[in-house]
Order: sequence, then C-alpha cells, then structure tokens
Amino acid sequence: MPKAIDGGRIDLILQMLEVLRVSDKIGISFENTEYISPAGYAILAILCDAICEHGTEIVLVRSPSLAALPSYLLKIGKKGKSSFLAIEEFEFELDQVLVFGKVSSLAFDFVQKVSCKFENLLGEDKAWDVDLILKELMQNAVDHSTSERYFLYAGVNRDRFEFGVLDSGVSIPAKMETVYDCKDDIGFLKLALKKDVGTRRERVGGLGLFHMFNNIKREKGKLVIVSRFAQVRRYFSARSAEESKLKHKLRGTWCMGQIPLEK
Amino acid sequence: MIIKISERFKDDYITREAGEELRELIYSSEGDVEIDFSDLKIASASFFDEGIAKLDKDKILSKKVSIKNLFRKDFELLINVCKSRNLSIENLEIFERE
Repeated sequence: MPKAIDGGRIDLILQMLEVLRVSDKIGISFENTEYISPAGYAILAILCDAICEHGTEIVLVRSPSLAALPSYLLKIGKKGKSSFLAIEEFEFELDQVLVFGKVSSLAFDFVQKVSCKFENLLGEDKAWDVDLILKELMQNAVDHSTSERYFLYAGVNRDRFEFGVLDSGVSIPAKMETVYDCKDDIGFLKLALKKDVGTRRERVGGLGLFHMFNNIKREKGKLVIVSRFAQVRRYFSARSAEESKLKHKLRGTWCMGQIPLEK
Repeated sequence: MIIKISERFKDDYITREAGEELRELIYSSEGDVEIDFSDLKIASASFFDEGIAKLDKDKILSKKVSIKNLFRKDFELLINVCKSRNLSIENLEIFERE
C-alpha cells in the first residue's frame, strides 16, 4: 500500500483490485502507509468488497505509524469465505471521518449525519453545498449505475473537506454509450458533466451533475471522476484540468469532491 | 391547499420520484396551492426540477402557486433550475425564508 491512501494513484489501487481478483491468497502491507484520507477509507471499503466477493485469503501487515485500520478491513481478515460483509459493517467513524455503505437505496441517514457532524466546521453555506453534491452523487449511484452496494464518505483531509460516492455498478461510459457517441471514455466523462446530458428515459434529467459541478466550481474545490478506463480531474482554484486514460479498468464509478476549509 | 414539504415529503425530498409526486399534487389540487418549505433545507436539483421546474403552465392556468419559506440557497437553486428549463409562469410566486 502507498504512503498515503487517498484519491491519488488510482491506477495502483485498480491494479491491486485486479490482482486480488485472480489470487487465492494475498498479503496487503500497510508498512509504508502513514496516512489514510476519508476517500482512502472508502477505497479500502471497495477493496474489502472485492476481497470478499472473490474469497481471497488475505494477510494484513500493519503499519507502526498508522493509528488504526478500519474495522471492516480487520473483519475480512478473519472471514476467509466468499460472501460480502453486511453493509452495516462499513459504518465507520473517526473524529474527522465518516464512511458509510448502502445497498440499492438512497443514504438519507448518511447525508443527515454529515450535516450534523460537520455543519459547524463548514458553515451553513458550504454544508449545504456538500449536502447537494452528496445527494446528486448517491442518486446517480442508485439510479444510473444500478449499483447494489456503494460507499459514501466525508471528512477532513488536512486543509480540505472531502466527500464522495464510490460504486461498483455500471460505469458512466457504459451507460452513456447506449445514447451518445464519443471517441473514448474520457470523452464520455466530460460529456456527462454538461447540462442537459442524461440517459434517463423517464423523468428526464441532466441537471444534477451540472449543478453539482457548478457548486464545486463556486467553492474553488476539486472534482475527480473515475469510471471504466478514464479519469477526469478539475482543479477549480487553479482553473486547471487533467484527463487521462487508465491502464486498469474500474468496474463502476468513483466521484470524489474536495472543497477548501476556511483558514 | 397547503402542502408542507417537511410533513408530506418527510421521508424523501431529494429524488425525481418525490418531485414528480409534488408536481402531480399541484395539478390535482383544487384552487390555489401554497407549498411551504419551512424547517427544511432541500439541496436537491432533482427534486426542484421534477417538482417545480417541469410544471406545465397549461395545467395550472386557473390557480395561483406560491412557494414559500425557502432557505436562501434553496431559493437560488430553484431559480436557477427554473431558468434552465425556461419556466415562465405568471401565476407562480417564489419566496425566500425571512
């Protein structure tokens, strides 16, 4: 595992997911890991699900400099059989971190919990922005990706507040290519953020991601969307963007937002 | 008719499905409709889009629709969502929470 487990080095994480899907037994070493961000805890939840799904036996090597590994990761170490952990096992809370798992339905309780826990820190306006973005993201996870299990997170990462939704359902490019034509997965991700672009046949939408995008932009935050073979990153404070193809496939979509905290 | 969102939609004021239910309620009500958003922050473009911005003005010709007590940020969002749909209904009023 890398020094910091967060929303970066996506290809490395995806490579690990691929390896454990074809391995009977695998060692996961946290020896070099010094920090896990809120997004990192949610990524570890996805990792747990992949391990359980494939019944991979794991050996965990802990880090001396890392205070604690999430409880769900420790539980699968003892499990050694191919069935998922109950979704409630992924409810994980630290002083500045919330992680939550949900099956096939909207996580109203999670967004309420985020508001309660972080509104004083964020202030009313930013808390409302985070609320809106999480609601749009989880609706996408349930409606569009038809993901049965998905994970949400929110919390403080140094001088930023980060939040997001990670699912293992139908990817954005897979969904969009049924309606639109783009040359590659990067094109599909960029298109998905535009106004009036959607794939619903009933209750036509296309505004949710657009407003979410605008809210992060107004807060001068950062948005990362990873799906299938592409990732797009928008850094609104620097007005810059990065887009790249992934070497390893993500089965699903990870949407990760960040906004700066007031100093 | 008064529709208090925090009571009528207490379990879901987020989704397009809930928004569609609100829109149908507005259509089916007899006489003027007041939609009260007090005690809540909605923060959902989907709910506002489906419930309000997609209103068909021909279906509410004979009634006045008043939307009241919106949290400041919800008020801004609803106005933006309505603009996105080019909604222009003379007998629709939208008020921010005081």
